[in-house]
Amino acid sequence: MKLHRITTLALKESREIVRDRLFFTLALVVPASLMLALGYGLTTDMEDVPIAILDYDRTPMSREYAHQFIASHYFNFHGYLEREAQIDSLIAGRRVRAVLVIPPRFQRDLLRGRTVAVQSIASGTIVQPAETVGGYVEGTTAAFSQKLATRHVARREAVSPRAAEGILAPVRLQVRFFYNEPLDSRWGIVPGVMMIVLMFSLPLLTAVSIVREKETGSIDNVYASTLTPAEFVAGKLIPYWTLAVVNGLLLWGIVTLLYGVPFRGDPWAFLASMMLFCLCTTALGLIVSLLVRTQIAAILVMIVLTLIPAVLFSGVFVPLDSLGAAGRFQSRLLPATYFNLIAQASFLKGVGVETIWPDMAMLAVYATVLLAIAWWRFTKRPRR
Amino acid sequence: MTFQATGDYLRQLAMLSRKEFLQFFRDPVLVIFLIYAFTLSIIASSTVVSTQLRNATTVYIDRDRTGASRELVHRFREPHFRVERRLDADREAVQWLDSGQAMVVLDIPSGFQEALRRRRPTDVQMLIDASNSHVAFMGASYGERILRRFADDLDPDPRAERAPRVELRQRFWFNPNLRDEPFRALEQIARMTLLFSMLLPATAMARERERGTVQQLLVSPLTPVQIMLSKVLPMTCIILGATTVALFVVVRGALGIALHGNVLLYLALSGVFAVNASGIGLLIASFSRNLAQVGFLSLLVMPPMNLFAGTITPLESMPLLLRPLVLISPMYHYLQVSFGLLLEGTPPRMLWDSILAMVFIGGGLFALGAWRFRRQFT
Repeated sequence: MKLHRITTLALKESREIVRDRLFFTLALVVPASLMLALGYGLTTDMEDVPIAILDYDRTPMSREYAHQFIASHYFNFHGYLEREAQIDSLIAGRRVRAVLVIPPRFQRDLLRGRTVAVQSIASGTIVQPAETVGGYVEGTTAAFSQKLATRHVARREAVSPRAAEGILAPVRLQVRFFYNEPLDSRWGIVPGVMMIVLMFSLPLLTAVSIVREKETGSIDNVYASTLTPAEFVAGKLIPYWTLAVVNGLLLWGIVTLLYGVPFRGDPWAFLASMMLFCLCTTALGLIVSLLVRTQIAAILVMIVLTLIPAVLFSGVFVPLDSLGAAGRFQSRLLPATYFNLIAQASFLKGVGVETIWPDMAMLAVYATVLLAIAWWRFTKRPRR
Repeated sequence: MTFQATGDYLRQLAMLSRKEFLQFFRDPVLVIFLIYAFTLSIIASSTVVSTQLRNATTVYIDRDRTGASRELVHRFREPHFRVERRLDADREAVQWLDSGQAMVVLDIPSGFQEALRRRRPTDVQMLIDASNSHVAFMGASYGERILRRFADDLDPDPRAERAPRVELRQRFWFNPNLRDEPFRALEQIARMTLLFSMLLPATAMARERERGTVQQLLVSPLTPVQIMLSKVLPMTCIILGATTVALFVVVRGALGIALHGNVLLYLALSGVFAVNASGIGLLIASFSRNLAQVGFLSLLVMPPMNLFAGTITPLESMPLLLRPLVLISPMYHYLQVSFGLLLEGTPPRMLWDSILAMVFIGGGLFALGAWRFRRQFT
């Protein structure tokens, strides 16, 4: 390996990036713009869920129950329904997310100390919002039920509301949310989006740049030169890797400064992990470029190999525990998973090297293996 | 246009399209990826992926070690929780959460059973890693449910007898068991359609430009619209074929998902969506000078279209500024139509707004692309 050959190649490569003006802006602007748009819009928080109520009872108590939903900021009251037939078009037409059906004799049965079943109807097609809305409705109903029963017992037994509560609910669950106290979905998603953007943007650039040389034939100059495979790999990767790290720093700034996600961990450990991760991704781009012949194929392969798994299997939107065995296996094959764990640990959990070192080590192993493959697959005598 | 001229026009278009077909099927990587995208990738992303809380790794601290505390821990089980092990020290609990090995820690106080027997209220603590807020919220919700049932099964306090209670029965229409597969399978078809229909015509066009063969085409007796259509129509046909196979063989066959509504209308709209996506691609191609630029500009458009399609972030939760962008996204409307038609059996007359939106947005994009393309060469 000769250093001056590597620097020459790296220099040539960086000139190419800089001189293709659109290419250059895209390399620096696309990742940041994606980060801005996705960080701004991607949220799984739900507020003002449109809901309608079909009240067959129309008594003070049923209205009191309905009021729990009307007054809550989780729901946006769409109105009372007149007949059951209206439900179909509201749900199927996606005008509301849920319809609550209060049965007749709601008040009478409650006053007689019975358990009354209320029904909620929601579309289950898209699972996550259906679950969330179900959770809201269930929580609101449980709170109302508790309030009603407490009032009843307190009056009948002539005890304080607190004591009545204890009689009714002998065990209470005290939930404490760690790392994301306000339960803001952006805190979890935005660092993940940073990972996703880094995962596909720069590697794609790397892949395309080499395949383009193949397509135009200018790679023959490399084949004919004195460059060794190792020098080629190093010289090609250095500029793209640098660009990737610069992008990473930029995105890091956006995540913390613009979207207000806290950074509680060790910045140096995170920086090191990011550099390793960028090495993995650009090396992946390099390998893909050595395997395919056309730029179209390179773009498609990169998207299928990086973007889609990074979104689905890395744990950003889909919790790792929820993946089946096959999915967990697949997720363990991705550098994205490890980097996402590191990002969550560094941004939200505030832990340092002592906890994240296994994931960092995996990234290092990954990078080494990918570089070795790239070096091994690069040959100056390609079969045509 | 005379009959003769129309015939010539179509014949020229057919010849050009044939060339594109040949070119596509001679690239083995592309063909393999097309097959993968419309078969295995649909199975993988629909059966493996779920945003539901499943098997959340749970560890617990049992300071009571009695029948009651063991019974409570036992109730935290599949499908939502999976109890990994008992911890001895508080410090350990935080370590399990910090390292991401556990998502939930249950903490049962000492004297738990005794308190229950004496009807003294007691608190059980549940610590949840809330990095993923939705899952954390659902974890708390299921935890509450488990505790309510646990309390209901206890020896009831006579004083609590005949207290009024409201119980919720939840019904989820169209998908009573909240299965992830149906909507994810259709979403993946849409994603793959977007990927191929947007990129392939755009890159084909950019490649002609890079190599200068577009000049040859322009001096030939072909119109710019013919050249554009010859890129779009073959890809749309390929996608439609792939979608049909995916729908019957993969979605209905392998995944066993019942398809309700009008499949023909769905396929027709899939074609419209493919043309929409190609329109976006060609518009991008008209702004780019080489293939890498096409790739990158597409990547500026594709992830937001995928992620803002109403399946991750519900439309009503989006920031107001972004909602209009979602409403002009063909992907959003295509998914509305796909889910409505195939999964919910909604009559088409209730989906007319999304259908019209697709037709108009698609037409507009295509016209814009054609205009830009023509302008570049005159």
